[in-house]
Amino acid sequence: MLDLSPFRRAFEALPAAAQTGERRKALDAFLTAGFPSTELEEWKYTNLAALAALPEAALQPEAELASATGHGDALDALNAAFAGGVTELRIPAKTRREEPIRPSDRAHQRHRLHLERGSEATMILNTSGDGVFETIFADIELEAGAQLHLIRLNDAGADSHRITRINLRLSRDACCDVVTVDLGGRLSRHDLNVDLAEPGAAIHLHGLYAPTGDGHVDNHTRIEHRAPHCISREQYRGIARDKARGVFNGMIRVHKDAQKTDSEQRIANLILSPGAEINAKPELEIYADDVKCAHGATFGQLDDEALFYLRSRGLPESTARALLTWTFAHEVLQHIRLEDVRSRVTKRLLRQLPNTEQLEALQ
Amino acid sequence: MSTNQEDIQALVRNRTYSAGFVTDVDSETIAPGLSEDVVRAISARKQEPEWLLEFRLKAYRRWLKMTEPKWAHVQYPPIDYQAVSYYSAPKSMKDAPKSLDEVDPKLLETYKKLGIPLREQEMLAGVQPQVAVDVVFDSVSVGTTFRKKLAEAGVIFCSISEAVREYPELVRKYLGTVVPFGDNFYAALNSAVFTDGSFVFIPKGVRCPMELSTYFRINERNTGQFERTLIIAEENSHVSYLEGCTAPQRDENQLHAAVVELVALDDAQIKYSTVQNWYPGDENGVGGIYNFVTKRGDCRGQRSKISWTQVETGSAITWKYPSCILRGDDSVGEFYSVALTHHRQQADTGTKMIHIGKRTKSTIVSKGIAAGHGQQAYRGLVRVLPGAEGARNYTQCDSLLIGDKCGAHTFPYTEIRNPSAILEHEATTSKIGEDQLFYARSRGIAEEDAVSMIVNGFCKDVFKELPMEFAVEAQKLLSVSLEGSVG
Repeated sequence: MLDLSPFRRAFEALPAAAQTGERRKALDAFLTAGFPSTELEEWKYTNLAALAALPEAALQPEAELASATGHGDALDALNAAFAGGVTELRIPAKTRREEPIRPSDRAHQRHRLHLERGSEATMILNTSGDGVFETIFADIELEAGAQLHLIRLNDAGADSHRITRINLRLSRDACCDVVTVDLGGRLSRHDLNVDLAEPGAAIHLHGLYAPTGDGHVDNHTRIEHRAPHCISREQYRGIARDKARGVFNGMIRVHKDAQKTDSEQRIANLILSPGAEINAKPELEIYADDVKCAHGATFGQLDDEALFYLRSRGLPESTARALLTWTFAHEVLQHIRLEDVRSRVTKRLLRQLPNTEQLEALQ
Repeated sequence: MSTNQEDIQALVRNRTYSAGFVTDVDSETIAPGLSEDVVRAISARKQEPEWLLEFRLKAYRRWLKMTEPKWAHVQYPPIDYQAVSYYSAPKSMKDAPKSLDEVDPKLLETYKKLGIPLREQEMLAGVQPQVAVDVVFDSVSVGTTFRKKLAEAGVIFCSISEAVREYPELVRKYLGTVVPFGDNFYAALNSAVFTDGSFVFIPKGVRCPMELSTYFRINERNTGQFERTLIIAEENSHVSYLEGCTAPQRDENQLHAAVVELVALDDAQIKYSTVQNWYPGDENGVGGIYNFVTKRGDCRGQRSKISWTQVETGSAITWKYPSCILRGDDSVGEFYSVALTHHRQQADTGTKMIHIGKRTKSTIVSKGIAAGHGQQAYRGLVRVLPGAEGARNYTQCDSLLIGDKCGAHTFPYTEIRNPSAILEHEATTSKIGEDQLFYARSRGIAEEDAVSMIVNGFCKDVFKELPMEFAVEAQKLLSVSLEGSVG
């Protein structure tokens, strides 16, 4: 059994006013349940025991008064206890919010976003990246015909430990376009749960995970096709180098009455160094017969012919490789619609790929 | 067009299980229950050497500490392991008949009824394609055909009990080296109480002159069958082996927990094919065999090759993952599977390919067909270890759904730790298209035949891997299994 008392002490160090009954209740729920064990299928490749070994100073709950109540498992409770500045946001019906929502850059965040009928918005989830231990939990609901462009970034430093969970619920004809990018951190785990609750809802997921050093990135996505005529498109790409480890688990479940489901999942991975590792599992559970479901996963090297072509054009091999690796990642990054964010992420990615000096012009 | 779909459903519904009869023979059956005494009793009855009893007892003690795996995508009520009888043999087999002529005619009749005429087969030799058969009835092997001819080639093909008596050193050297006695819950159970199965040894440089096959039959009530098969292919040898299985139609569930171990040394090739047709239970899910099987091949030698082909149409529950450990450099593993679940059948099946040696290759082709209320899952693992330079895998998993009450699932694990590995995994799910059926019918093909054609086309990639006679058999079996399911 892990010693979780540092979490309790960190919480009790908060000013008395911040230690509300609700937060304390959530903390107790977390302490009772503890971190999920690697014996659980969902946690097979990611061991959170490292979090219990963090120095106490790294555990810093938000001091600002919060009114979050936990309603899920141990991690949800932990976030409810630690989070501050809870955002509750409603986008009024049939309005378009031009300014992207950047709710907070705190270490521990909790958000509720509600897009009313026919509204449109863009949201970015990230932290300042200074924290050693960070949690972001968000519940997002899209009413009929609402549209959301959601960007989740993790470009934190090499010491960061981050847990993210996003729950999305889409009503009739709602559409959500999500891009998630993981470029940093020592240990991170991100859950993205999507409920396609009513007919015509569509979800597009694009993810890039590129752990380096001895980083560990675990992405779990779950798409529930609960209603007929919904669409899901999922594309995740992994690049692992050094001693890094990437994990991807993508579950798509087509419920009994979700006829005419159209679902496609593509996972591609590149391992750049002998010590790196990627574990990927695209899962399908199908209980309806009139559906189109396909998934594919590949692991591989860069295309020899493409390399040959670039070299025949006079590029040194190392640059040609760097260019192909960058384009591999760009397939995902191009879906970020905010130009400033896209260019920042691209710069950061180029910094951490090998031999990219020659690619400066691309920025 | 929806009536069309209903017709198809109706076509698949009235499925018949032709192997569901019971043979009326006097059997000697150990009382139900499992304890050290039972393990000792089985070992004593088979006059086994001390080391084998020790192996069994070690496995039994380990089994006591293990818990039943629950991760598979199947549901069934808890099994009472004390209600199962772990040994049953026809009384006539007690004085081990020396040849087929001495075997109880009732037993031979059973196999004839199942389409495996043992005696005629020996007589017809030279006319028909030759297949040597070992037949296992409940817990004992009834007889093996073509022994002389095989012996001339240096091939050993006999029941495992006989091998323990005749070739103890060989058995001792290899038994439990691929599937250790404590490998998993069912493998431990099998290691403790296994009764019969086949033993095959192909010496260096020999190409086995004919197909080898084993036919398993469960007959007695309340018994389990715990077969153990061990196949060893020495350097530069080649063998093709096939097993088939059936059981009577009964309302209670019966347990079948087998272990199969394959060892391929340098340049050896083993082809292992299964046509599994255990009683699947009736339309409402009453009865049927619980098929919990551990099958694993070890490509120990360089350039060795192990190929699994399975056609799984029977059993109420299937839990089965024939695997390859690709240890030798340049070794090759293959897995071709057709699994059909109908009525209330549930199958969780797939393979594991563990790439250890350099330039190892594996191919996985899995075709799942779910009809009625059947639940079908492919569960596979491809693991590339850091030393497996240039490893290559290709995986294809396709599911065909017939009706809207069944389910098809895919759980492919990939664990890659070498940058030079190249893997491709593809999975699709489809149904029999109304336009496909319409086209076939417009050409004057009856709906049932059209469905059968489409399903066979869907499975073609796997059937072409089966030895010819069995491919025909498998196609027939599939169309019978699907009778009355289309929709």
